[in-house]
Amino acid sequence: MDMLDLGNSEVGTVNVMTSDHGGLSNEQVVDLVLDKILLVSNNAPPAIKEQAFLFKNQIREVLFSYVEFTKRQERATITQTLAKAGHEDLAEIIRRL
Amino acid sequence: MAIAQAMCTAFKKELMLGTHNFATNGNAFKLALYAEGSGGKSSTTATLGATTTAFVTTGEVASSGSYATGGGTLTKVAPSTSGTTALTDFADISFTTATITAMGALIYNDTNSNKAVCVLDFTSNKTSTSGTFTVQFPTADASNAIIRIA
Repeated sequence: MDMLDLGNSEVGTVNVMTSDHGGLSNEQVVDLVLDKILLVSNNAPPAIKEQAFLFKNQIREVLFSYVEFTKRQERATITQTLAKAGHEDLAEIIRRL
Repeated sequence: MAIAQAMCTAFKKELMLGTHNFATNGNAFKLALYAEGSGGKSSTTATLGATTTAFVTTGEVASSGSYATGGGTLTKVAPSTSGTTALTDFADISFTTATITAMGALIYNDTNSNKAVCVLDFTSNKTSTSGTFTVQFPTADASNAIIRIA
């Protein structure tokens, strides 16, 4: 049967992620990325599911470290930009984040 | 339920009329956030579902941070096919430094008279306080994409 369908099943719905008093945490960003990279079907055979979740956890660690690294690099660039512009106090605040 | 996830019935008809163009250089689509109970503008409650025909202000959350009433413009991903299913997708959208409580969202066509596309039900209130409010769209495949024709 042909049908027009909206992704409204359990795995098809949107995912909303929020934060308080700042941006998303590294863990939240990693979860967002992982959901895009690897989707494990609820209907997958248990053995496949287990392997998929193991793989997901492995890449979670790699992603986490690189998300953290990326944020540090960006802060370093911002710090230098602010310092060069004479805003040493702001640069120090950013450096300490 | 005041906010019920659905593809709007009017949208299905309008697809047949060629009203909506999801190509990357096509129409502009927006996502507006809505509240049930407190959290909306003037404490109004949104009523959204299959019968919604266009963007409404009732129950929309107030402007906060980078969220302005009317919602945020979505970045389209060109429609594609997977097997016998046609699908389209949007890039995830984030509102920053925002204090928002939302129970759902409406995607609508900003180019064509704010005509409604679909209603998203978050199933529970999602809240950001001076923070980031992100809506992540599902994997763009034949089984999960946000809008698909099978």
